[in-house]
Amino acid sequence: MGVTLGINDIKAVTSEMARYKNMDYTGLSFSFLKRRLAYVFEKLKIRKLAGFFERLKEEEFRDEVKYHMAVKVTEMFRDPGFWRYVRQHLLTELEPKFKVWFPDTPSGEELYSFLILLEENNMIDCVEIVCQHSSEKLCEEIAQGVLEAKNTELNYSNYKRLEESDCYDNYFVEKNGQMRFDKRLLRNCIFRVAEPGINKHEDEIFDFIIFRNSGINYSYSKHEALHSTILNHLRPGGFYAIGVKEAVPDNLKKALVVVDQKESIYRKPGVKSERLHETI
Amino acid sequence: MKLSDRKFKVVVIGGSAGSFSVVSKILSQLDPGFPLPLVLCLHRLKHVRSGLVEGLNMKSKIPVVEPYDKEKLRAGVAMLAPSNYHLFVEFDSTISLSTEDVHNHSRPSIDYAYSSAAYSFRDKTLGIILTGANKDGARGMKSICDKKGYTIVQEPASCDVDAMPQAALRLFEPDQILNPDEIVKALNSLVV
Repeated sequence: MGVTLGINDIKAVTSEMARYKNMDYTGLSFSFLKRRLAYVFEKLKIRKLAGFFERLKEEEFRDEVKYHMAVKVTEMFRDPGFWRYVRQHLLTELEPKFKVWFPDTPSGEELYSFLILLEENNMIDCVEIVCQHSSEKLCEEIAQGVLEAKNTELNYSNYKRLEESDCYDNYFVEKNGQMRFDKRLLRNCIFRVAEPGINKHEDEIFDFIIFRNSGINYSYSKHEALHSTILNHLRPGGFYAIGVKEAVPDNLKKALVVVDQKESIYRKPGVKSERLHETI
Repeated sequence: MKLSDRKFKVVVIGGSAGSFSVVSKILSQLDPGFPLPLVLCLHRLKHVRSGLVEGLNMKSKIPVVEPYDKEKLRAGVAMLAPSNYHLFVEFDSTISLSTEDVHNHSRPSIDYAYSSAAYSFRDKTLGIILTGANKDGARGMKSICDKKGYTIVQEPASCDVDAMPQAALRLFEPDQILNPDEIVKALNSLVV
């Protein structure tokens, strides 16, 4: 039987975690924390809060906690319509050189999906991609091309729904009996260990930011603040993608133009030309 | 206490195989002045994002929408859990969505929708479980029962597939076991 956490327990846990670097989870919604901490405690076999607090002193344990707090994306090309839109409309707007940010990368699925689109459009060397997560272990896994084997069939069926190429197997290699994403496609990716949405390179500006379905785990006020912080790093005319059922916070609605409502793709106004690269 | 004498803050209806026609029937016969927020959590294909809400709206007497994350529950509006997202009912009468892992092979999970409503609104929750082919929803309905909410199970004989109602009946004793026509009457009895 796992630990059942009440409101006060959750507050105690998040304030204790927040004392450590890259472990500020105080902005997550209460209901999400209740579920996720229960999951993490079960995974790490935590029975008592005191024991958990004691183990937080260990750096390796803290990374394990951060690793399990991440809600992994369970499939590549989740929402095929979104990826189809990116391929058909956004990539041409972004070439010839552009910079992409994944402000929260809880698993490789979204990144790998994007890299496959780039590869199939001969654009893999047009891009520099920055990915980040607070767990070092997780960043390392993604950089090594690790994928959940159980989702292979689903990944492939989503890929097929893009209705163009059929060379899915070309993007994977076998290593020690496991399928891995081909690391050659990751050659222009940088991995940073950092909290979601926090970019210490204050002047760093991106042409496309992909932040899908991470914001929904936050409280309303943190959700607003997080989007606002992230958008500071979006170039005028650049694109912003969030989850298809995630609404732009009210205070940011005027700061963005809807590009595709159904796929939740927005653009930061401020560019006269339709083609982004003409203004760079 | 009679159903019509109870005060509720939310009605949650869950179903799987065969439930579309039952939900459609309920919505088409519901009093247009239905006074409560209604949450629909139905198992659906994850890659088909459109069609279901439009289909339900064709006959429904109240608006059916797919909510965005953090959207407020509204009286007289049915909110359908979007495909490939879990749906949770929150204390502040909002909906939250999540992409956490599947539960009982399902996302949305009916258990999660019921349990969150029971946790947030306790005895002010009315849960209705319909026809379906797996056990998802049974534990969530039990949570509503445990919190002294009101529980209605579709009569197994009236189900296309009775696995879901039967799983619920194995876990607890519901307040009522009703066929679809009786479920409509029960819901309309809540209209003052």
